[in-house]
Amino acid sequence: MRYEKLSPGLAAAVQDFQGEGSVGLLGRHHALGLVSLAPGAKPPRLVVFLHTDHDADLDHLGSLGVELNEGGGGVRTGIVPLTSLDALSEDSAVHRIVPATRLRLLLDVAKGAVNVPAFRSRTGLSGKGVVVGVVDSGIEAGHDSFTGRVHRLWDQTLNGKGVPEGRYGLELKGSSLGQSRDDVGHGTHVAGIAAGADDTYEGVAPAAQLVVVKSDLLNAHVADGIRYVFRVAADLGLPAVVNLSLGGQDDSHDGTDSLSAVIDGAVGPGRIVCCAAGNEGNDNIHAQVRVRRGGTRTIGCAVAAGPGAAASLIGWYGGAEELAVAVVSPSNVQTPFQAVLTEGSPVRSHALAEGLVRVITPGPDAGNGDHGFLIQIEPAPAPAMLPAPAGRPLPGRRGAWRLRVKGITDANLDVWSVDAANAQLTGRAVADSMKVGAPGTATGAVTVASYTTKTTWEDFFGQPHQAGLELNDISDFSSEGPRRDGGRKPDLAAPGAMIVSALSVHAAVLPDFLIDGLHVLMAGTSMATPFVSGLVALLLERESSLGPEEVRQLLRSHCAVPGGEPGGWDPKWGFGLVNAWDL
Amino acid sequence: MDWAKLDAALAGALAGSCDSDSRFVVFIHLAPGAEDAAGLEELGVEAGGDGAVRTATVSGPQIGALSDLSGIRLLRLSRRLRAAR
Repeated sequence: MRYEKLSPGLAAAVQDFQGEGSVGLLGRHHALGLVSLAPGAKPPRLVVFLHTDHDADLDHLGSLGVELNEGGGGVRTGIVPLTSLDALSEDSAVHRIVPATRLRLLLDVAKGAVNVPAFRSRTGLSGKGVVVGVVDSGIEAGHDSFTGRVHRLWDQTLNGKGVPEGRYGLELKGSSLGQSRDDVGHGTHVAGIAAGADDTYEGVAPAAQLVVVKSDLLNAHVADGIRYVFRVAADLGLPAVVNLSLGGQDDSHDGTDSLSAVIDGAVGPGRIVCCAAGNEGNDNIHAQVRVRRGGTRTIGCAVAAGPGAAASLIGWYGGAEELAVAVVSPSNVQTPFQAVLTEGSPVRSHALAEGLVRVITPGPDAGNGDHGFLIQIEPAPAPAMLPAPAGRPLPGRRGAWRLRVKGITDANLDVWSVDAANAQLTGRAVADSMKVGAPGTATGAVTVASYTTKTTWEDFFGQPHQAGLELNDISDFSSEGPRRDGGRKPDLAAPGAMIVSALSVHAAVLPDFLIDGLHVLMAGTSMATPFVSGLVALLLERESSLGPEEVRQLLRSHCAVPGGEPGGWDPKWGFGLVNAWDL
Repeated sequence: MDWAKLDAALAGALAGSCDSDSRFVVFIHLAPGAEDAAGLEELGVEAGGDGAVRTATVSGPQIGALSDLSGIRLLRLSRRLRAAR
């Protein structure tokens, strides 16, 4: 072995491998471009740079199991079995072998963009003595980033006796944490951003304790999860911030929905909730019309094909206003206009040739006093001779449904498609506003939009990638406010694209986004939210009794919309990008 | 059944349910002064949480009985959220 040709870290790893086998490499995931250490698999392989003679013919290296990528010159990239390093180092054409340089520290880039390192360096804050609650898809509790810091985990999807907040699921701690798996990987990634302790991709509050809820994502169970985190934190005598990188559009968009009500009731001194604004910024999910008495207005709706691709449209208008609604099928068959039904069931079903339509028009909502209606469209299967691509709006007239509204009084109506994947709205009434859904609309929550701090990266295999986002700008996918009642949501923006954080070993990951065996790249307001949750954990470490309004005011006073008025609010940015410099 | 206490989604779910054994995850909003949730246990409803908004898994007949309680202000169907990524 010509050790002088190996980078120092690689030389040390080779010695450990020779002495202990693959076990000796387990602690080196961070430093080496290891492809696999799975027991019984091929010998461990490395992604490497080979410094060689310029334009050297290296075809003979194939006999050593070396897989070189296309491209010549003096530096090649490829995958090398660790067992072939000896022979490779002896090759006269090879001058140096260096493990592949991994993706730049995107989370660090993100943190630096808003001065978190400077803030932490100046204050010494790390989240110690604060609980970060993550209600999400679970956590890979055995990940190095969380070792010894997951205090409790309530897996709502496992059979068990539950917890006081809900008699379902199974509570885990200590050595039993491994019974719960994060098969999605979202919760693990989110937890890593807020509180990961990692030499390379450190989270914002790396000394915080974690209380995790693996949720089935029913919003009632998310509500139970919030209460659980705050109760466990109270038992520990610690302040807590709960991260909700979740959302939906199936609500009144004014903060009076049930989950928002639970959040408003649960927050208080030392109890903060941070919510994602949502990722519907590029989707036509909201339409707004003013209907005159006796007049009619129409809103188009492109409904997807495929099994289970039902469309749900919700509409909200004032409690003192009156409307009648009808649905028009692609072949122009219209259901009867249906006004508010206050006697008996408010549900009417219509079996049309092109699908089942259900129109539900109850009286004023007891929560906010406004009228809310719901339209459900279940398209009939497409004719066998005209198969439609699953998950896409049907071309032509098929799939082109319409919602027709008639004013009994003058009325201002807002309509949302609950699931953009199944239905998007069309026509002049479409409005890029009010796309922040619950729980991001909760008055007591801190609601977070996404800012883009990175648009290019290399994956684990050295392939370059680029995201279709504007660098150093609000992420175009980030949902716009305000609330339907004019309430200012989102509150602020934080780095959400593209972010590297912890990888759950149980999650399926696209290779383009895989950074190494422990980290993965994701983007969304889901990623921006734990950034702020981590910041809140730092603030609670400094002053444990901070309440939600104090936290919001403190954060808002350290935000700015580029080019905007000081203290100004923007539907996309909220009060702007947070700057932790002098928080 | 007091339909006025059901939100549109819960009313639609009840109408679309053909199975009498169907269970529904709901939010139960209690009326002011009824935050002790008296009456829920008598109906066999095990509610989670405290304060004015509770959560529970209930049957169709239980929804009807709950809606007729004076201490119940509003019943809403739980919706499934999505990860915001």
